[in-house]
Amino acid sequence: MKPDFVRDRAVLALLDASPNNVVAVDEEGVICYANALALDTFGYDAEELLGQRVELLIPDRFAEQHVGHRRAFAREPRARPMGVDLELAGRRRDGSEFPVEISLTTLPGPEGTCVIATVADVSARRTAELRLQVLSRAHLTLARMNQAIVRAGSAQDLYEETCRVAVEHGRYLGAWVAREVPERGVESLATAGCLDDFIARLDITTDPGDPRGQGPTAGALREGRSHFSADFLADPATRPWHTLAARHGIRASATMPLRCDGRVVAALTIWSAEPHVFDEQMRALLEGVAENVSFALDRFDAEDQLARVAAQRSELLTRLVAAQEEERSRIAADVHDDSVQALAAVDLRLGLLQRRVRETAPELATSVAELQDTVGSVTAGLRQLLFDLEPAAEGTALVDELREAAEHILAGYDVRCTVRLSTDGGGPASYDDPAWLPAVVRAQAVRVAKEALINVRKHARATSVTVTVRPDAEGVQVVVTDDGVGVDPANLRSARGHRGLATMRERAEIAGGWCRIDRGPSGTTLAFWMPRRDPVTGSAGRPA
Amino acid sequence: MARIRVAIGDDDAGVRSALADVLTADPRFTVVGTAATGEELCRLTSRVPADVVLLDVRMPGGGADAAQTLRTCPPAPGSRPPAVVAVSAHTGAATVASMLRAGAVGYLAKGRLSRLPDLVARCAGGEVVLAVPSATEALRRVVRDGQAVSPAALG
Repeated sequence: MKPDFVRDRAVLALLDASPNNVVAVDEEGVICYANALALDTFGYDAEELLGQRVELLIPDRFAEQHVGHRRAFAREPRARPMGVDLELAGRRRDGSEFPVEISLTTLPGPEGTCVIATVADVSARRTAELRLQVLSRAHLTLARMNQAIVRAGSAQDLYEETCRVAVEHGRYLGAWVAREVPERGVESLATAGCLDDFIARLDITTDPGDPRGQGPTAGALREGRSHFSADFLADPATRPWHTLAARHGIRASATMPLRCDGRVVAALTIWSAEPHVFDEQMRALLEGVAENVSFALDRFDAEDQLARVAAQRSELLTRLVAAQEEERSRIAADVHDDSVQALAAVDLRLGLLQRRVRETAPELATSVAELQDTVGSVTAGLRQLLFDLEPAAEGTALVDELREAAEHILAGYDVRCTVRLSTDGGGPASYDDPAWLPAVVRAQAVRVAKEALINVRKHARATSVTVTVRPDAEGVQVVVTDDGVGVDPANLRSARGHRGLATMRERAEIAGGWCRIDRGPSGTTLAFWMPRRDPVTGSAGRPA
Repeated sequence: MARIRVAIGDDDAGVRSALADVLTADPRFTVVGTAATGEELCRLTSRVPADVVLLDVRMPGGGADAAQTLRTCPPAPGSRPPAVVAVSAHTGAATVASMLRAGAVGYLAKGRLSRLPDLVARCAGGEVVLAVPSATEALRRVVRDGQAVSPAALG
């Protein structure tokens, strides 16, 4: 039946000129008009199409539903887009399909109502939408991966996170990081997704002579090549694994080398259930990910090296200090065994001689007495030297050791010395627990304190000096305050005989602490602090 | 009056012979033997009765360990454990304190031994003679650390 509007030239002209495909259908569902564009789109001549059921133009699987929709629409016709949520498709003459969006209008006429369908081919738009989705997801995945890279604390962390992000956010089937093990082939470092079984059966070798050694992973590990398999099951490079992959639903893969310090250390592979997802843009994005991972690996490597160097330095310093103490002990032993013992014997015999001289040659008594005095003072000096050189007995509290040192150093000088323990630093509750500091640190603390006291004796012209030992949670602070003339810190560096301060600062810093000197209103304060924990290795003295 | 019997322990031959000569020249004393190690010294005192032992702190087997052993191992038949007098060039408070804790009743400094015979006689007589400047500090530490010298140790 020819619809009425065909006789209306204006309407006809409008429909003919429409940029969209227009098809008009009568109440029976029979096509009564199609514009030139529609004919072209669907691939029919006018005679072939007119008089046919409209269901000809839609895929068979939608036909039955469509008949129902038509009837419903006929009952309640109003202009609207057709089935907004329905996945609509048109079918061409050659049987191929394309996605469509359809708007419906009715044109009532004396001979019945015509339904005019405007059909838009949205394949391009659908593809673009899909593409956008894929890209958005890819960008999100990339962003997450970069987050993972920044947050990872170690290479292993990094591998695991990268795989996890690829699968969770990229929604790929699986992800895998592998490395080469000489003589044994390929070893898994991290996986994610549902392909553990597939990975377990991969049986990859890095031997280039073996067909199982010519796949993407082997290529990445051996030659640093990326490989993108757009259609896994048709890619000759992956042939040995086609059957296995098909079983697991794998249709595409992307493999990229991961480098550290320029060498390939691992390969990252991502598998997809859909073919052709790894197009040019995706490849570029994924290679960017691989580069970022490599950058992070370089950073971990550098951090590792730094830590190693710092640990080495710390060990060397510890050994240096220990060697110094050993050397001192050795010198002390020599001094003792050679000089002190000999003088002790001399001193004893002089005593004997003195007794005899008094009886038989009293005029010589004075000379002998002078000899005794000389020997006595020399021995006293040597005893002092021994005390200085030897480390304190184990189990001696720092305060006790410093008190004794102060007595020795200031003996004979008119300086009042107080050595006290302060507990306001939050140090251990037990009285100056001797085990609070590692032995090596203690030895340095004692030497610095002794040096400070010697400086006071030599230069300060003080009448009193106070040494305060203040343990705190992290270490111990020692403050030496005197009421003398004060010292100009600038002078301390250059003047001869004054390089003590530089040495003190060195000792403190070697132990991981600090040392400084302040000129107060009347007098000088030297303060230094040493940690109880080795700054690099973290080992600490053990409290009792 | 019976002579005070003295055993001498020091690993340096010069010091050993000087100590022996000085004490022998004094009519108050008899030197009953000398030893160069802590072990030898203990063997000596378990064979030969001694009232006083001069003990070098740094000789092999010497020091606080030897002092303990001398006080605890059975003395020669018919005698009591000897009074232990430390003789040393090391006069730090820690060393003196450790000898005190081990039961020494005397501590004499090498190089200040011109009055040796008098000091040894006093120790033999029951006095505690700590003829070193660090004695005060050493005693203070011993008392503070709760290990006061026990009456048994003093003999």
